[in-house]
Amino acid sequence: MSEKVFTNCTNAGPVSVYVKDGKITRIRPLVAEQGDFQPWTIKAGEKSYTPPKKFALAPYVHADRRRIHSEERIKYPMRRIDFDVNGERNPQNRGKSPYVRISWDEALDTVAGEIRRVKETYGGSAISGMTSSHHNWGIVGYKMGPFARFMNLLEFTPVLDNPDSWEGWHWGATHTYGFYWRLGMPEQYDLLEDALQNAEMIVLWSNDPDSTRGTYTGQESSLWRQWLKEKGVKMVFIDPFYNYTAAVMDGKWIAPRIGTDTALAMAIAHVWITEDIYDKEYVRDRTQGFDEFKSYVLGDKDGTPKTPEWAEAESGVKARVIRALAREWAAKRTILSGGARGGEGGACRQAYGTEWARMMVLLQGMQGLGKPGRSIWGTTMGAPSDVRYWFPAYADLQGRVSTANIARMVPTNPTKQRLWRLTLPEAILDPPVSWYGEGFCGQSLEQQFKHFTYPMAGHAEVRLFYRYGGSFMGTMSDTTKWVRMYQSPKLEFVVNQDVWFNSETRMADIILPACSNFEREDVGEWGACGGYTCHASSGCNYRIVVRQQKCIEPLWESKSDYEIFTLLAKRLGMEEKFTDGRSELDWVKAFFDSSDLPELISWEEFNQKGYHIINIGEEYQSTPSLRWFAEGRACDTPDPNNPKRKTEKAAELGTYSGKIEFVSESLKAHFPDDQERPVSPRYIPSWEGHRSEIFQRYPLQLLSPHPRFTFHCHYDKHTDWLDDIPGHRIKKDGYAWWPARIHPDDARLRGINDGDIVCLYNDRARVLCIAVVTERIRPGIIHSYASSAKYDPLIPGRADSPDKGGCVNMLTPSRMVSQNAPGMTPNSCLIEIEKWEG
Amino acid sequence: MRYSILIDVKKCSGCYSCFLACRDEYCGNDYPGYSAAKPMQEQFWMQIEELERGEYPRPKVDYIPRPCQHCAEAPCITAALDGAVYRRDDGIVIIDPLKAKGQKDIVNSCPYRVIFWNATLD
Repeated sequence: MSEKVFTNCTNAGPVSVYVKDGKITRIRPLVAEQGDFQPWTIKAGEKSYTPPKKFALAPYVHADRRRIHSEERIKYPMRRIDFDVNGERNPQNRGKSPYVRISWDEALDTVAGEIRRVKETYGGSAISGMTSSHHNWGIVGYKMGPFARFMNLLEFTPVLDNPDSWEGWHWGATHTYGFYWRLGMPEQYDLLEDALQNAEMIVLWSNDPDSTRGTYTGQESSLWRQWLKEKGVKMVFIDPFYNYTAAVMDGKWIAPRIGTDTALAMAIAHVWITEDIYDKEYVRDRTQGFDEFKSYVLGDKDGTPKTPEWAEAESGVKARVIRALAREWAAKRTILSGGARGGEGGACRQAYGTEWARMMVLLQGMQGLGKPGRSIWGTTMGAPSDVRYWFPAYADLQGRVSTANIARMVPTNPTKQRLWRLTLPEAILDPPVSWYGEGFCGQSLEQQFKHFTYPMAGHAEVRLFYRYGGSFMGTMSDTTKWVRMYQSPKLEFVVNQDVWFNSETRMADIILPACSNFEREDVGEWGACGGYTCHASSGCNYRIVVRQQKCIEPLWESKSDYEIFTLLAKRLGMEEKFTDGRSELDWVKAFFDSSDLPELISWEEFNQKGYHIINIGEEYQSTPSLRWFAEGRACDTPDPNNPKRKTEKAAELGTYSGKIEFVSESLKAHFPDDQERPVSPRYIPSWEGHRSEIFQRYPLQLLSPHPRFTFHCHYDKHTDWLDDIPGHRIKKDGYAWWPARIHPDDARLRGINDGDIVCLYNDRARVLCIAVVTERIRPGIIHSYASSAKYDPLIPGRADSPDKGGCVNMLTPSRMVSQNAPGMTPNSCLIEIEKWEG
Repeated sequence: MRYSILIDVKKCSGCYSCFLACRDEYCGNDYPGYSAAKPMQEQFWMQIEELERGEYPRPKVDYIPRPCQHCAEAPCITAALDGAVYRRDDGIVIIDPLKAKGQKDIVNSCPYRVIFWNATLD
């Protein structure tokens, strides 16, 4: 058979897929016609900057062929061997017992039968389900589409997501400068241009953009940072690890002890206040509450001025280094890069991470946030981008088959009960649980103050758990509790539907094989999240919408998620309700028709050609983020969810006062006496840090950032070629181990050599890794990425078994950011490490 | 004329995209006259060496990508019999996978260790 070429898109870039005899032979960055690119040009001084006519994927996408044809694929429907739906269910053996292959009919009959039984016995709220993010790309098949539509029809109990990658910004920064409609991260419009034209220095604080890549936009922004480097823009990296961006930028490295970034920030403010080198006019006109903050920094009440010397004692960073940084920051037009999307970063994913995120906003507030070269910019978004043409993205209500009004019938879920992802195991094992916050609180600040208790009055406890597309063993916190949850007899039935075997797959009673987005029809815009991260495709040099063509038939016995839910719905007598009378391709066409794309290209051409690039027009007008605020003008950025935009309050921020709040009005109104997230930020030593009691037993801090060579757990072990990248896994004795980086002094003290198998341990878990002895880590800290996809317990089925797959998140604490901020805290984790003798 | 791929090692961030893209292009795929299919595992025609030097708190990291150098005086051409390795007019050094059959000396002649022996195809 001759070769055929298809177009598709991944979570990190558009691709051309070459197929021969029903097998994918290679996958390249999408090969577009050169005439389709009309690159933008940014002029800065004497120079002009223009991107090349190509797409820069994230590295792992180049290996997607191995992932699609992986031996880690779930090939057939399966049943746990000791699970008898009509007899002994043996929930205690979840995670331990093997599986037998069954027919699709048996699998679907069992799942549909259990859904019916549980719903009739307990009600819809006894059914819950949980997804992970982005094992696939494409809006029709995405989790918020078919999964949500099906579950809403069952009237299930949704599990609220915690904002796992940007906790402190969500629970903290929103109370300082608003942007709750962006979940705490600032708008990023045209900040690349601002940086090239105006920046003299960039402080990348807890940010490794070359590794985290603006989340979905591949290597596109690497070039931008090269331009900035060539231009002579100084880069400073504040990170306990000499990260990969620091390495290629050859920047200045400052390595604080984990948990002390807020102290460092306070000391910078102290220098600015005492040396009178901050933007007083801006502070007067654009902020409020400065005097109270100033009083804290100067130590008026507590007798402790937050001097660089004070911060040195906390952070281990020399006072002279802090002072020099503060002075240079004030003297130069300095961009603050507090995470890949402006906000994010490991410093916000720890005890009191709210305080650090708030301080990031306030520091930049003291230097005129929004003025030229004074932005908060992640360096991964904000290329010129024409946003006038709307195409639905997965987080838009109008981009989901579950909620879009292109559907004839939109099922609504009347169930009010909710679960919180981080405490789902506790909710099953030891209810009740309660928390503040309605998941992603993008509708209002008040959502954060809403209190939930599970089980909710008038609702049932969960009996049936439907897990879909991924695993949390390597990504959430204190994750051995997930094993204990699965083994609870309270979960009468567990189904896992996925493309690949993941760490939670073998905890199910029935396993259903889904296919990847290369084996079904879909459509999607590269990098576009929509919703609360609206216009994220400005992280790409070109907006491109891809008709994600079905390249091959579903492999083995897998089926598309949409088809699986259709077959289940049919058995439950609600097929028409689920499909709305549409096939997947019908949905693709309907979304296309609902978008602005028909103004630019016909359906026939788009469908056949497979993509459309939305270039910026001649008349493109740059509107740098927050310049309007700094200049006291009405918001002129195209930020559609900013509720004050186009109103009489359009010059205000989204805080209660409309200003940057050194003293938060929203916190004052709702939690005026909270000492852990006080109305004005403070440095509070971590509850699991260098001042904790257990530091004597566990004197090493674990730093587990987002990974460089896998996307969450979605590539890693499903993509064997990645095992040959030593920054990702290292092979020893036939096993691909997860690296743990350790400073030579710490290694020497423990007799550890480079390449030794080591055990990372504390009271919560034991995880085996391979030691990488390196000068790139601050002494006292162990660096090991989160997101291992391989949970490989030495004793399967035992939650307390050591894991040799590298799920270091098993070691991290359940405790939240603070009492009223229910975020995860993986970087507040003390461990010890020893050579593993087996 | 002499074609070459120039790699600016100062700009290399060690993303390994070239390493993976090379495998995707050649693993399992024959390009008759140019190359036999690269085995799925253990062969790295585009290698990257990560070098760390300096001491905390001033480490440095460099990368040396190492593909075939298409040497001007290529030892593999000398080592090969029957013209199994030859230089084209544009400077590109080609190993003819058919003619190279059985000639293990070609592998050992490479000073950069970037020629691999395909055990299955001999």
